[in-house]
Amino acid sequence: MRAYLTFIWRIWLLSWTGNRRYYAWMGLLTVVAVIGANAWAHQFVEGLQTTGLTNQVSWGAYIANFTFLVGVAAAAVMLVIPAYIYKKEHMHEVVLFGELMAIAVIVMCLLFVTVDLGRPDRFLHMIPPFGVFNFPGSILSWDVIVLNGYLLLNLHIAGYLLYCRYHQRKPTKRFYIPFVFLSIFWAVSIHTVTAFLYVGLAGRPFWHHPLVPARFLASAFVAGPGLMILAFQIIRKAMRFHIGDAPIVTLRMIMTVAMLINMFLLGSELFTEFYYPTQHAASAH
Amino acid sequence: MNEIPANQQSPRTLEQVYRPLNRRTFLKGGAATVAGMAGLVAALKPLLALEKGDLTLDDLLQKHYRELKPDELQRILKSLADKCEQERGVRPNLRDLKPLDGVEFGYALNLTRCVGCRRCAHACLKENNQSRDRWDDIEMSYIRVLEMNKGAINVETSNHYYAPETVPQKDKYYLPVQCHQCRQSPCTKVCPVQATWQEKDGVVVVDYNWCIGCRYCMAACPYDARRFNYKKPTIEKAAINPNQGYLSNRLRPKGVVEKCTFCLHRTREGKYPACLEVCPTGARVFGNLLDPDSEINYILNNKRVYVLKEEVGTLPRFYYFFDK
Amino acid sequence: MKLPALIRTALGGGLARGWRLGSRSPAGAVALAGGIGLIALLLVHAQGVPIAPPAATNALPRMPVVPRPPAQQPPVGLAADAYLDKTPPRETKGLDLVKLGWTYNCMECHKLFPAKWHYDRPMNEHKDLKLDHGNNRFCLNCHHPKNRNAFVDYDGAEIAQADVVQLCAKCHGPTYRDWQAGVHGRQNGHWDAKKGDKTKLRCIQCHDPHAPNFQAMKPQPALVYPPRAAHQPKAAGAAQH
Repeated sequence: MRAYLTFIWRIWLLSWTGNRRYYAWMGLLTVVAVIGANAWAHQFVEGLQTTGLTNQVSWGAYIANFTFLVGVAAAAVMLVIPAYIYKKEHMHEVVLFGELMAIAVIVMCLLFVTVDLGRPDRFLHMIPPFGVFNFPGSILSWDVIVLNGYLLLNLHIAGYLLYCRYHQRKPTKRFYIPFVFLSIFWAVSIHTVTAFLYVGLAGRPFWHHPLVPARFLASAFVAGPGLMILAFQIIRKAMRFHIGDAPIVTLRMIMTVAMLINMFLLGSELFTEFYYPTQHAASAH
Repeated sequence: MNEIPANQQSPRTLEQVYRPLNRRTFLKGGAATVAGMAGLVAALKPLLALEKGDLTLDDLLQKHYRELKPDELQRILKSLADKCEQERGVRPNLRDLKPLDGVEFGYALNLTRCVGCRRCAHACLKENNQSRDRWDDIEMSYIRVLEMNKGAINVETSNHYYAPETVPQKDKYYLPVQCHQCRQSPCTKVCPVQATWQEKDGVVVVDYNWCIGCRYCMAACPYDARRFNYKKPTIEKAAINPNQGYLSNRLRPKGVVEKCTFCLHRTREGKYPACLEVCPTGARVFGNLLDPDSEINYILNNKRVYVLKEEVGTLPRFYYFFDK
Repeated sequence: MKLPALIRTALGGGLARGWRLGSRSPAGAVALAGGIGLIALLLVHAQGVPIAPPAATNALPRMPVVPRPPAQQPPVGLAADAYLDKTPPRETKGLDLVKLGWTYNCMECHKLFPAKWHYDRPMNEHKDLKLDHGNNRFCLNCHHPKNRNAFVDYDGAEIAQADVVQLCAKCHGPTYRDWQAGVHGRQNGHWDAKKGDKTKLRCIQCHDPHAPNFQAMKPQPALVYPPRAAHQPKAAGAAQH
């Protein structure tokens, strides 16, 4: 335990070392985060009127970003599946990046939901012993569970693998392989549950459509690996860590297949909605 | 595929990487930390503008309405009334009205009679203590009157910004929409914290002291019946309606969702709701669904009624009918 | 101040019309007589009441003060709900003479005017009446021929003024049934009879019996969604959305 805390402390120290470009980048991110914190402070005091939302459009960019980032997090599984199910050796080198990315975006997801709350001071109401959790009735409560669960899973897997690497020893399979397989299902579930968040609303005909979860997953499996490829390229250029072409080629193939499925689903959806002008698509017309 | 030589790191390089703190990194890190913290403090400075009483420990620790013991509830009612008196200068007659036994409310609206004058919508603003100081700040009314084209029942083609010299217009009819107090209410189903629920008399209520403001219920409502307090309601002292209920028209805090409660602070005392009181044409019919002799049952038995968006399966307690 | 003008109108209008019409139809004579009768009535009435000190500019005595304001309607709804605007869509106008303080007794004038089916030339009073009530073209479709204070039933019996609903029910059966059930027209007050009373408006409180269609009214302003971004406080990062 102590060793693990030392490990975390050393990571923290490590995060302060870097060249000038690294400092510039981190500084820029800090400035962005501080501006965001300032905006949020204003919003907290003045209410959500600062967002420009109205009763007519009550959800906006916060929820859109949340949904997108859930997709990116779910897409991390696209690195895990080839690495652990198909035993592609070259993916083992980069699978960690996928998991770290998942952690980062899940944290962003949770933050996006938090800033979207009208009363963030009452977030305890969502946490079972203190509040009243509407489970399993509310899909939002499912989302709270799956997102936090996914966060914990990835923290465990990535933390354990990094810790073993730090100690220069081989990870014990029993400690992380079950969680890896769990995380594969879990990743699918986070995006499915998020899709159900919308699909469950019968009063919104354009969302109330059985293809939405499938499309969410298909598009996430395009966007997520796409983002990973970009990240890999930056890592290759900017850092000493070497990533071969093989993982990128694998990801490219995954993207191609997922994109085909996504386009097919999109086409079916558009056809259903627009071939005949029913009320179902009235809001889209 | 196995040669990834660059990533094979030796213990020596590791030692280099995790090199102990030296003076230079300490200073650098310290300076950056101080700068970051200063930035964060500066960024969060607007929080100081929070009004006193906006965020109290009592509020944070309050239990869910349905878990409150009677004396706890009385204490909360008193503190809310005190707060209202202190902030707004009006001592409200704030109470918690329980559902009546043997009563289930129903509402019917006569589309032949409605002329679209919007008096109901404005009475709603008055009755329920909603912001209305500025002409462009009256979005909170629970009633929207849709102007419909004759020959169509599709609300997608409606308009609720109509402003002709006089109503009714010849080729239009008018469809006021408010909370339908659905039997299968999608809004209560989706609430992650059960801050909104259906009462015994069918009224769907919100506990403004429990709602976290996620607005999922607004997304779930097919009738646009829910309103969110994007800011603290602004209302002049003289305009405040002191007859208030805990679950209905008491002054709301910002950041919570609210909705039509069939004026439960009136109707649970046997009175008609405010929108019915002001309707100049008598298009609105309100009553007890469980009383076979009530006006609402007369409508259900003698008129051909329909409900809005029946296909969604919400089973509303709000009916529309035509007279001729 | 208004009274002399009124009398002049009554006299002049009545005479002029009577004369003109008299040349064409015998009814003109009646109108003429009516005009003269009205003046006589005014004078008689004026002498019958205690005479107030005459005003400087007006030789005519002041009109009698009646305890009940003319054409008063019962209150709508509960006194506690005064903050809600419950004005009925129709303000009963009241007759000019009644507004001046005359009693509401129609027979004060009409005892002089015989009932005639084709009596379509009102002189001073009732001139503003436009009869636009479906098939009802004549006053006596509704008003009692002998007793103008009452309405007329199918069989010629009288329907008291207060029972105007019975009169309307003669033709508007289904509407009357709905009104009785409380679903046509306005009701205010308590839905629960155990908790309190309700007030129920009668037909003529909303409908002008002579032109029962609802008048168009001005709608109250639309509920606008505020253009929030427009009046924003200077918040630096507030444009996040």
